[in-house]
Amino acid sequence: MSARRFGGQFSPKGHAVKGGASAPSSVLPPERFAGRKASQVDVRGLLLFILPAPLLLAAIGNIGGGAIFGALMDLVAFAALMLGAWLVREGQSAQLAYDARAVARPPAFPRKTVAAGLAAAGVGIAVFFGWGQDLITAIGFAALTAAAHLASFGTDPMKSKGIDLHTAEAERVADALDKAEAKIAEIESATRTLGDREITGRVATLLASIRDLLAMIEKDPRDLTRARRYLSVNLTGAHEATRKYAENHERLSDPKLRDDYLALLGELEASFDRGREKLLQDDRTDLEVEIEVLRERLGQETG
Amino acid sequence: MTTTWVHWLAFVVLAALIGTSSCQAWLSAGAGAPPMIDRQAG
Repeated sequence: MSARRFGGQFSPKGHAVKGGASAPSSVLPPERFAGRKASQVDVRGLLLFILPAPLLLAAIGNIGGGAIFGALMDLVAFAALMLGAWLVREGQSAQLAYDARAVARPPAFPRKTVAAGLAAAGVGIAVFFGWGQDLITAIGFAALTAAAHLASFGTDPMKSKGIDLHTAEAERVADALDKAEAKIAEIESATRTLGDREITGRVATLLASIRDLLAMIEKDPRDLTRARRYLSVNLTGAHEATRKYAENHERLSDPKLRDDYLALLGELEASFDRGREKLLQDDRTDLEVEIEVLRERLGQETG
Repeated sequence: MTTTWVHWLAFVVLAALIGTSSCQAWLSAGAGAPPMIDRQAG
């Protein structure tokens, strides 16, 4: 007896059949999550949000005692530490994205370094105004905090990485990849607001195809020229269509609109798959030509 | 990006610095405020 996928009339992509039994529904393609990194949760980053909590209690205590300036300073220190904690998480995400790519530019804003500065400022203010220590002690605490922060979370990536980094071509590739990634992120976030499982599944499959294409460009930046049409026309089309559909589907509530949008997703997916096939074919042709040339040269040398 | 024991050690120091300064600020704020029982008695 073989296992049967659970599904019914109201399941995504399910079909009702006679007698209440469910037909095996079509399974989403396995490559749906291909190219996507699992998000990593750093406990240290989360703890940074909890540790400054006593400063809030200090502010409340100071307000209770009528010390408004003390309360204000506690709140400033608390705000600096919380902002720093948030920047560390942002910096970690930026670093993960940087590490995941073969061609990448450093983040425009050094989040982790600024976070270290904010943590140092927060601790310095808390020690000087809150705890009531002298200035030298406060500066010592702040300096130690900055050093411990940098040693624990590191600094931001400073250099570009990839092939022939200083060429304009690599800059163009990094720029195109950045823009494509930003559009993908916007499509994902627009799809989440729809709350439609079928559309979410179809968009995830489409994005997996797009990510495959991007990975190919990363490996061989020469592919960018060949794939430019897919990135500039098709990806922009997918982005615009998703955004407009997400904005208008509730107001218009037209089932035909949804069908049209799903049809468009199908067409786009097929187009990206064709693009990927074409790139693979081109790579294959390039390789064949190179092998042929090398063999001819070897033949001449031996002959 | 792997978290090594050095990162954790540095984080323990960082947590101690943030925790100590925050808690001391809280204790100082508490000490500065007039105790509730005295105010009631007074």
